[in-house]
Amino acid sequence: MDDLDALILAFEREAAEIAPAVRQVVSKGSLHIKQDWARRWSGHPTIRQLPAAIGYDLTTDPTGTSSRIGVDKSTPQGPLAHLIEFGSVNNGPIPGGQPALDAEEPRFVRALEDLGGRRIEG
Amino acid sequence: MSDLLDKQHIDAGLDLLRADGGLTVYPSSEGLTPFNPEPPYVRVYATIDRPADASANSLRGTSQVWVVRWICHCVGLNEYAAAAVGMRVRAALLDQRPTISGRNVGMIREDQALPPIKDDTTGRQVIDAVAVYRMTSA
Repeated sequence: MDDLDALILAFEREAAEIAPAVRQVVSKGSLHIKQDWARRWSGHPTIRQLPAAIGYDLTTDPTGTSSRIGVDKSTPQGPLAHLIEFGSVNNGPIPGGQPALDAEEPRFVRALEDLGGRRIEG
Repeated sequence: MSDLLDKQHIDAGLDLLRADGGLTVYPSSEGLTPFNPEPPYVRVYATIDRPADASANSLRGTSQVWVVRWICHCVGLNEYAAAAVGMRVRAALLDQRPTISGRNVGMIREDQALPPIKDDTTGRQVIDAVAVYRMTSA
């Protein structure tokens, strides 16, 4: 086996070994976004049930881990979510999901960088 | 207030939209929006976020990164009319780089585009296609 083949094998092995740690990072980030989003929508008298309708689903497959964070539309006020997030022609929005995502993005990127750095340093 | 930076950021997108003479934009340059305007028009809500942990924030920890979003409700009497408003909004905003004195300004990008839906919150049914545009400055 030449050096390039050995390097490829090392990367493939590393991808498999790091997957559980990456899932933890994605899970933590999703939780932060969910909690921040719910906090931003809390305290409004007309959407009392909406914060509790926010959740997330993690999916892990051979290509990596992904998370879908959003509002369960089957809950009593779930169908109102897009009107609250984006507003209507007559009602201003109360953004919750997008600012929560913006706030978490730099922390999420740093967590992944730290994880990669620890793996490289051994 | 000591500066008008918030207004300059919000107006960076609104002024681009108002420069299209064929597009009715609310709020107007006076900041007014009528209750039940005659379609077609675009109703814009602007927000500014300043993420606390943004990597481009200053070394002193001050909030240097500002993220502006324009939530554009493109309104018409039918789906094609709403889509036509959306196209004018896209032509005015997408990939433009406004100028704000003292700031490094990125290009305006599209964040989201939603399918057209019925809206009767004004008492008259119109079709509303929402598109969200974002600009970052530091």
